[in-house]
Amino acid sequence: MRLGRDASFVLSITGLVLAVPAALLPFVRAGKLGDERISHLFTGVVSLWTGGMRSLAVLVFLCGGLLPLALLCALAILQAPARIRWLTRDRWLLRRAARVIEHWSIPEVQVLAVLVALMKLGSLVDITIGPGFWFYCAMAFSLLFAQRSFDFAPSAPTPAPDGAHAGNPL
Amino acid sequence: MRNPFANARFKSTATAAALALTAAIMLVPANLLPVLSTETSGSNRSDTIFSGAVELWRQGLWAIAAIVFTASILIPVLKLAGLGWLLLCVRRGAPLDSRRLTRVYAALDFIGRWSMLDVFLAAFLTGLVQFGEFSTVTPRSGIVAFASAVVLTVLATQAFDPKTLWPATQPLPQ
Repeated sequence: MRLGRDASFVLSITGLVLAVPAALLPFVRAGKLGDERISHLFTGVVSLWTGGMRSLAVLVFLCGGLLPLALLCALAILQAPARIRWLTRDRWLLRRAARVIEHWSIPEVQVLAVLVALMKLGSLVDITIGPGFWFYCAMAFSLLFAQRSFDFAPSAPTPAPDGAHAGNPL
Repeated sequence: MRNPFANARFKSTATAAALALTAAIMLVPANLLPVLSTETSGSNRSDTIFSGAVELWRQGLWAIAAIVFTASILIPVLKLAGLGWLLLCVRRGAPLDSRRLTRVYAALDFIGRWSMLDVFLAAFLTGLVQFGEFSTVTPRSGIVAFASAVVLTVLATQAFDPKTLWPATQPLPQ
């Protein structure tokens, strides 16, 4: 399914909005023998960092948090309505950045990893999925659809921002 | 060497080959060293990637075991093998089935991201399962090797220029 430019723009904005509760609300609640632990989106990153595996913490933080956010921002700017002139002027650098980031922003993989972890832990601890996880899922899917309708490797130069933009080439 | 693309062609394939080779080397410790150790009520076990998938299978979580096995073992190996094959094809320089090889490249590019699954899994489990003496999960050195293998594979795929799969005179497909 390939969406139009406006739909893609709106999805990017939606993703950006959803990212806020995804980062702030509890992700997963786990209980074991009366001891309860609430995990947030970046709890794993923090424990990796304090546990001495800093390179891994940075990688997870980038691929699952920062770069999806950056890509949402880039997609929103690149597909902003042509009326907003100051946004649509010179974007080749941003377009190239988006092309690189696209390979490293993988929130959907993190969603799958969390689901696998929950199945794995099911017998070990009591698990409740928190709202943060659902917001994160929604964010991941908004990004996925926004990304699908954006052409990262345009074959023709970007049309002039005079409002005559007929969607993406291809 | 009158081909104007010869130089760019060599550079792209050489970089990709070097990165892919390093990734292949990193896959060895990634699969031999333990990636996670789980401590539950006194009993302690360390899992490699493979034994982790086997353990899931033993618990009866077949679908999950299949997902983990595919993402962590099958995809890294398939991706490196595929990339190696593409590089050999370019190197040999014989007439290529460019269209098909480009599709192979696109497929490799798409599946690569899913091998990060195990890294996210380790991060998530470490963050969540910290119940002191009852249950604790600690990441081990294997996961770092695995993560670097995945990152190197992605870099190798990006370094490879799919344009080299096409003869220099032929216009690229739109």
